Amino acid sequence: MSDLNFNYALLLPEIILAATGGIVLLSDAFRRELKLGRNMLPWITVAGAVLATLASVAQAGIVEDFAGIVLVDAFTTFFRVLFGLTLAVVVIGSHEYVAKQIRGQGEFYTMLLFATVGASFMAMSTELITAYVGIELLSFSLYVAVSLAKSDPRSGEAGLKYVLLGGLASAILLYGLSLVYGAAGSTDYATIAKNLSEGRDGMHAPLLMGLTMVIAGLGFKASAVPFHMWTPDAYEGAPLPVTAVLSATSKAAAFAVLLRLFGGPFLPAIADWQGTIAFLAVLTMVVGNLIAIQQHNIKRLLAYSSIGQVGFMLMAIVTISDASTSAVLMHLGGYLITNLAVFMGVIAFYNQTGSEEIADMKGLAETNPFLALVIAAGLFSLAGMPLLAGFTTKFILFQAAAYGGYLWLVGVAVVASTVSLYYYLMVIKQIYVIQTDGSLLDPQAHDVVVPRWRLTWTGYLTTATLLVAMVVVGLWVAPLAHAADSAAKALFG
Amino acid sequence: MGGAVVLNRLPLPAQLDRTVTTGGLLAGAIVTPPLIALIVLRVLGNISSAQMVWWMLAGVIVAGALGAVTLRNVVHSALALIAAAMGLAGMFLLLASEFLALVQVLVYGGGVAILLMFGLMLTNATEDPVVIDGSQKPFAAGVGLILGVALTAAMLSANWDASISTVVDFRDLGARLYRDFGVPFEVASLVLLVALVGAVAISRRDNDDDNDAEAAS
Repeated sequence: MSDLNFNYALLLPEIILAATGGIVLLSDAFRRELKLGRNMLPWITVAGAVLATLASVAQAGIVEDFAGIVLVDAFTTFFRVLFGLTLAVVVIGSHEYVAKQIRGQGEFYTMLLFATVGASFMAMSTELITAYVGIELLSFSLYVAVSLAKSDPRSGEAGLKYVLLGGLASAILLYGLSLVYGAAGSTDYATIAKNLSEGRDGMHAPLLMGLTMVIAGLGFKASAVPFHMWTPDAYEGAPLPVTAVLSATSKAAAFAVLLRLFGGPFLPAIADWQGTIAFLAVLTMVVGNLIAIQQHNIKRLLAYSSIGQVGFMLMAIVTISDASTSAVLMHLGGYLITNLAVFMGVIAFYNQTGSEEIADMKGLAETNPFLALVIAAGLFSLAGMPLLAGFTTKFILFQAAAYGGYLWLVGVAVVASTVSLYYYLMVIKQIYVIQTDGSLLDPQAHDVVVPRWRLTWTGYLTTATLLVAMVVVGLWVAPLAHAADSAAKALFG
Repeated sequence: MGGAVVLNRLPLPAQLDRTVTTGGLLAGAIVTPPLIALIVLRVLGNISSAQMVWWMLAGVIVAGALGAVTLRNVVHSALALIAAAMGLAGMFLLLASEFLALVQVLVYGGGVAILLMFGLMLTNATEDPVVIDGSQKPFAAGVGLILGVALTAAMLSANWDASISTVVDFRDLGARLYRDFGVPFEVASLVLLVALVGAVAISRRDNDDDNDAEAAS
């Protein structure tokens, strides 16, 4: 037997996150003995997330694997940093919300930390079972976190729907993986790629079934149409910070697995899945963006909007290559920043007003101009307005798909993207055009005095940081592009 | 039911009530013909002994799985699930993976089954009369049928590697599980921790938390 020990220090970011989870759980349980207030918990969580991010940045440049099970490379580092920062931002921006609306704060933060660990393992696994275990860790943590809202029956309902449908999707995914294992003879990505490119007689049908079931299972996790049914209900019922994590970490992690799988082991069988994913991409873009038009609740609107965004990102899987991987990683980065900005704005809005209805956002431009600016900029960025992150990254994504030879797909995406502008503008209209009393804004009248309210300092900190990040990425995309490029190169060698 | 009348007149022990006896006879009547058919095929030499055992185990697994989802009484469902797990253990034994067979019996046949029984006992779950079939049942049945046909067709058309499985050394198994797969092994323990903490966090009532906060302040 060769060397018995691996370089476990490479897993330091995940170890820090998991240990922080344990610390949070125990310091909540023993807070009276330790004389700790509950308000310490979010800061312990943030410290863990920041430390884990720093640890993963410190390991940038290292390429090392553990017996082909997990691989630490630039791709892993990209996602680790993304997940770590997302966790830190969500916790800082929502700790007031959590203190009021969540039962079991210690458990709640622990679940968010463990979800991030699961997401990291999804990004770094190069083996089917490890990827599956990572998916389950992320999903289990989120099933629990979704159900933890205090005295909101929608939360329990959302949790139950999510866990039942999620369990079904996991079963389908696992069955698909077992068929792929049967057809390719290994669970290890490198061996699967080798065996599939050599090809075996008579194994085409099970491979096709396996791939289709894997796409269905992962499509559920990424909420691609027609596996999206859980998304609006789970988003609406979940506490707002969990909705933010669902739309950011969970989506990005699903794409990490999709990229690692379809850019590596499944690449030799591209003819068997390219059409399926192109079909899903079209369906997801069209359905997500059309149904979003009818929504009255901001969470449901953002749920359908995120489904639409997933459709755009699936285009990169269809045309998978070095360039399109880099493009989709960039878009994930831009989408995460933008989406978190909107969610942090909505959380601050909810903390003040206790409402999630789009109609209640009327006159926000007068009552809180800064928050109105953040939400409006975020929605414009999601729609893809120039100068903001959403435009630049979406442009590069569409360009990559067009160069990949799928011009018709990009055509559908552009139309869907235009449709999305409509419902984003509906929200912005409530914020800027409708006044607090429900009348239309009259530019001539300046005598209306409306009491203004302010955000908390953490609210200002997160929204302002994300707003600046959105503009910076929109104007100066080079750093993000560089990180995404090196991550894509790590994947394609 | 004519048989039931006959059963009433039989001098049976009191604890063998009618449902148990009729159920047992029914099950026996269903199981016996295929069993006889299998033994006859084996004696005639049409199938090998391994194939005979395989078919028997497959019958147990399918019947157990069907029972687990169709039986109304949850305790009966749990028992059917144990039967399916045991059938699976037999399959592992047939594949010469005796370690997996042992684990299957110990963990699923023993541990998980007992956990399930405890869960049923503590949550006071009995017969569930509520039918929760939605209006989409025909669609679900259609999709299930299509998927079943597609999977069966894929399985039948495939050219599976028919190599006889070799016995794996326990030492190799240990090295593979705790060295190569050490990382996913640890992640799986996190999954269990999440399940444990989550179950407690969800089942705890809202006001417990509030009282706690007041007591602390």
